[in-house]
Amino acid sequence: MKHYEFEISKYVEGELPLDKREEMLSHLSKCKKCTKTLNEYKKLKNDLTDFYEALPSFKNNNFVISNKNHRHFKFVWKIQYAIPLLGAALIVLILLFLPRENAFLHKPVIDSSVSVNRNTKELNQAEKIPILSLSNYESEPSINYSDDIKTFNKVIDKAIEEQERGFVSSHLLSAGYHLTKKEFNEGINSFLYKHDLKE
Amino acid sequence: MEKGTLNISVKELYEEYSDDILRYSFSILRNYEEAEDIVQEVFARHLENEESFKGQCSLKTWLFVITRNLCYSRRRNKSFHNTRIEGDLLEKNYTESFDLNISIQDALMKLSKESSELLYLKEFEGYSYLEISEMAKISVENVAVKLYRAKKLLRKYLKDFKE
Repeated sequence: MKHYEFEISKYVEGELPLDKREEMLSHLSKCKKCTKTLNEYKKLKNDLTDFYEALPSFKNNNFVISNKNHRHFKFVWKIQYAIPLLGAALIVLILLFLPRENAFLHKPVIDSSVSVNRNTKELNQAEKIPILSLSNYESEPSINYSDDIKTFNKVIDKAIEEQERGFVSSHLLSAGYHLTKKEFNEGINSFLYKHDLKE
Repeated sequence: MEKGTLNISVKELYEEYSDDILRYSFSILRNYEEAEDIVQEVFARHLENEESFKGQCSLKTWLFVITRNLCYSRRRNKSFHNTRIEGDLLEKNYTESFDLNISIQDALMKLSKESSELLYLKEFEGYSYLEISEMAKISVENVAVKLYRAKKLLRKYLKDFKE
């Protein structure tokens, strides 16, 4: 006996043409298996409907266009980049505020072997010896900028005065051109120290 | 297509269709969380391409087409794999049909995406074979046969669960 399972399926779906429907229904009255199948398909339809109806409705009422992508981006950003960035920022801050080697507090060590005299001849002789024995400085002397300006002006005034009086201190001035500002300042300081000009 | 629907606000559109889209995307993905994601993406996509909707079909069908495209182009997120709706998520008939719903979900998981989708469109949404064939881009005969096979499989799986 031919069974009508496919037709039953279509019948439950409401897609069985009328002529075939009659044929199927007449068969159903004779066939228990097909009747059972029909009931199963009907139950399946109801179960599926119940299942989809039982699905919780969409809860997110705060709908924002493409906010999911945005949220995802923010989430990834937070986890993957925020922590390393914070770490890097912390390291930079530590490096910035880390107390440097206490170099500024070292005072210059004056080379006592260098003798500077106001006597022109001695000065000329002293040209052979570097008047500013910078190598003897252990580290940068503590001179602040405003002091430098005053000191520099004093040295210039002094040099001019000495030139006018016939004393040549060109070695000092020329040294100023070839040395760095720091070295020059050290030199000036040393010079003033030796000439008792330092206040 | 009622042209007035083009002028409805995003909120109205959202209230009207979000659950339909959720169920439809769930029927394909069979994962609630992913389906929720799809709902948001569908509305975003719709608003981006609103002008290209000329009213040649109903707004719901249009949204379903977007949903379908998004669901099938979506890569399956491994973390969501094999997750199922937990008991507390099922709102209705919790005590009576909880077991049945869980077994239906498990059975649907065993079907292909397409079979599960066709079942939803036919049995829940009540679309005709013709409408489904247009949406799924397969012939009407194919829709009928695939639906028949899907139901047969589903019956078998549900029987297996009972035993």
